Amino acid sequence: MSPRLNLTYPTALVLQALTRGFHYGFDIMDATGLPSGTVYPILRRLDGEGLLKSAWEKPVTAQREQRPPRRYYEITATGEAMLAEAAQRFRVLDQAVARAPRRLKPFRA
Amino acid sequence: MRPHRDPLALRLCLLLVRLVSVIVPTASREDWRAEWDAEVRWRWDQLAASGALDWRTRMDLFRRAMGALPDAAWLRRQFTADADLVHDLRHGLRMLMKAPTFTLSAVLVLALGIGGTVAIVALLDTLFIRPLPYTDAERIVTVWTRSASRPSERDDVAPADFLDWRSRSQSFSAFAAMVPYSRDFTGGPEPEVLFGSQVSEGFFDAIGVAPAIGRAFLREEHQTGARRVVVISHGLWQTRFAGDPDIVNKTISLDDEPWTIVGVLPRTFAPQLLPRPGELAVWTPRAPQPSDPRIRASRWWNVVARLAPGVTVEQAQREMDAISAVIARENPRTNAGLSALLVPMREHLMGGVSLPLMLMLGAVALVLGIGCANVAALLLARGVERDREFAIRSALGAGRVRLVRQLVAESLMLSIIAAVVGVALGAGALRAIVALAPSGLLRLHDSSIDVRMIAFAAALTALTTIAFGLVPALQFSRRRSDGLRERQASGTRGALRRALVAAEVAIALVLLVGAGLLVRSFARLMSVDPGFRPQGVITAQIFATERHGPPEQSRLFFRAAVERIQALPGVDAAGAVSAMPFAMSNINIRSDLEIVGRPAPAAGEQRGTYVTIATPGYFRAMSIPLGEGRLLATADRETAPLVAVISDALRKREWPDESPVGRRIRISWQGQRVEAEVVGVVSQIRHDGLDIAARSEVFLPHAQLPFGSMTFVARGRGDPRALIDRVRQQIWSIDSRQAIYDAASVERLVAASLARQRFSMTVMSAFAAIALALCAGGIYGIISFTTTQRTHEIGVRMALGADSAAIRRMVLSEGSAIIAAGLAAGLIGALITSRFLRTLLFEISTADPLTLAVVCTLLGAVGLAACYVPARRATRVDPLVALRID
Repeated sequence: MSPRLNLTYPTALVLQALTRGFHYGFDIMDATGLPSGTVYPILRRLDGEGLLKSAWEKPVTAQREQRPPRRYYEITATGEAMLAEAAQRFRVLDQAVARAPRRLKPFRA
Repeated sequence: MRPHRDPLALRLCLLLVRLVSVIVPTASREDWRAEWDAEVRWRWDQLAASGALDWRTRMDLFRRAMGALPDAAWLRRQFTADADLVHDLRHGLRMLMKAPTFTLSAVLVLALGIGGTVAIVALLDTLFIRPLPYTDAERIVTVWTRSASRPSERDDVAPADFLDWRSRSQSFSAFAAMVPYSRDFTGGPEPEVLFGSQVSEGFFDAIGVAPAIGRAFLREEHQTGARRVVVISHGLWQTRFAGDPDIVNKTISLDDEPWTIVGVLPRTFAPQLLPRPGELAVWTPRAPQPSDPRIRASRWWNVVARLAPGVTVEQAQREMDAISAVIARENPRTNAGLSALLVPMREHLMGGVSLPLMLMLGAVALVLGIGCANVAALLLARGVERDREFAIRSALGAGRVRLVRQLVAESLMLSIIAAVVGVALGAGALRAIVALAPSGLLRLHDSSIDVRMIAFAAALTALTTIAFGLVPALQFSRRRSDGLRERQASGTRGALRRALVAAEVAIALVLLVGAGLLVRSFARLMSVDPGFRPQGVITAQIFATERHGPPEQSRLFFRAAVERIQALPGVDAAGAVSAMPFAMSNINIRSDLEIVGRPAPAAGEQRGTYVTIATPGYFRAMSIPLGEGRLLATADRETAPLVAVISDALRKREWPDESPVGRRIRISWQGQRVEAEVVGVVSQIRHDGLDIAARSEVFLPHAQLPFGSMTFVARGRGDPRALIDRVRQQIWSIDSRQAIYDAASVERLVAASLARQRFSMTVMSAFAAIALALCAGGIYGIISFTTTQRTHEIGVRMALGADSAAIRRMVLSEGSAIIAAGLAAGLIGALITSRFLRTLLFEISTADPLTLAVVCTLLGAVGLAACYVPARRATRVDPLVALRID
């Protein structure tokens, strides 16, 4: 089960970001530095290939913060395998993606 | 879910997502939009919460939202076989990126037009389309007194006329009056004056408003001696009672008496019947007074009526005309030539609004016209440039439909971007207009841009761009693939372009003439001498009729207050007057005038005068020059013989060829005849506006005829606000519970009186400036385009010996032909349309030659300057390079 996927450098970056704990589209952009017009088509493609799976955030969480629920993405085992393969190809991958999710601290008065 | 509206930048991003979502396949559209919405909102919340919202982060968010477009395009390609569309969109985007100047100018031009239109449509929607906040609003009429001699003016209503109209008419289901009556409120941090009205029975039924909290007045509360009850405005409830939900049955202190609050009116209630509708207002029931049926000469009531079912405004007006005629026969002395005038509520609310608004609408339509012409010319020019591209694609097998589709896709992209930018500009413009608008423009602050207007804007742009974007494609496909051989620009298309630019010049001229006339008129108005020097003068108005009612007490109070103000350091002169020029709420007292020793004029031919009470210091504080005789003096005491100073307007009317000093006049004062000797004449004093002629006026000394409603006037040095504060302290040092209403600098009062003119002028000038810029851009675009097209020809000419002056002349002459044609057409247009400005102009003709000349020169010069740049570029053509093309 090795999908014929065109594993580009940006695709590898997105996978890497997913393993590092960035689960939402805009967060992945922040982590990889890729523009939204690149990140989203990659996510759609990886989703279609089964390298990641997506789901909606729990409505309770979103309601508590008074905003609509966000869609989050998680890497699958296939995705992990793919990433390992990619890591061979792109040596700089490790440095290219931010470490831990950078969280802007929500401010509550 | 969200309690208040989202900020504009966020709404724009969401709008973009929403527009783009059309591309996403239907099956996943909802999810797709939910995901993007959530991400954008989440980001916004994060930024807002950490205080990181500035223009940079906003731009970044917008850029991220732009990513929705490739995302949507990608999905479209995945889920349908329609790869062409995606290809078109991508190609379109690439073409737009490749020509950034074109894209930027097209987007900007369209966005300006859309922004203006959206803003004005939002205003029109608020004023004309949204329902009024009254039950069956179209059945409500306001009723005024109309005089046959001044049919265009609406006067307030006399109590006796009101009573007769109400008892004799059949056309109304409710007929009620509202009597302006201010109240001193002492429950707040400092004593203040609340705008108030006493309303007759059935007022709230007539106007169709029920209190938001509590109830309206009961029948028995309109009886003399009933308990004191009051309905308060929403603003008062919010600001002075902190929106207390249990407000009903609490008491409020008005004029030092406790009143019971029975209701709070809704926020939307603004009937605009008072000269200045206060945010802080109280409404009290009015009991009929025994004197009401006798007062016919003084008119100060406002009347509102509700048409009975099935009765039209015209029928009711006919009935009132008949009733008025009978009343005039019964009371020839007061009512000859007077009749009742019915004005539907909406029309009344529009009042002074419609004309400036129509002006703006016209201006915006013209700017939009220029914008469309500009983009059309740009697109046409681009079409010519791309003939070769089309020719190649067509030669490679692209069909006509395919080419057209591609152009439509491109135009669509252009419209989407322009619509988003335009809506942003429109929201900004709307805010600016609302901030600028004179306060008489009601309900404007409720205006907002909503989905309908955005849809309107989107449709407008799509129509423009697609219509003109298609022309090149259709023209090309008509000519088939000749483009590869022939590089000649089509003659008809060139003519169409030139005509478009000439039209731009013409429209710009119309706008510039309008703006020029308004500016000139405003300058004239500013140079009018008001008859006093407003610089350094401040005023503070009080209504002391209740607190210092008895004549002796009134005399003491005002004398002490004026003396204390006068004694303040930095104050040069101080006084008090009953009717302050340019003040918002004056008590204007009119009286008939009798000159001792002259026969009394026949009934209906009496000419009255205004009666104003003043203290001696008033004239010095205002720097009102003395014409002849003397001013009022402190020696004119209670015990001295009664004296009067008259205005120059009255002297010109009654004593055109002789001196009035020493003559005796008789006037009515509070129901009594008083006789006074004229001792002096003061200059013309403009009272209600710089464009309104000075009024005939008799000034009488306060010491001899004490009056309770006076405005203190002080001329001083230094900061007017500090002076106002010190004057207020002096008044409170005598009576700490005296409320002070409307303290202001006189300069501000005079400036405020010009608000409407300033508004019209500013708006018109802004539109004219945009038009001029667009027009210059248009001329530049067309000339540089044709010059580029003619590079080959210019090269040949230069090779054959034409010098650079000849080339420059050639290019400039093409430009000047277009400009001249535009100016000629524009002049005709301006002469026709500027007539609509007539009522806004002050002492200036709508065909003012100076304005026309200046504006034509300006536009011509700007146009030629716009031609000059490409003309110079043409002279630098290197014949060798030019001839080597092809």
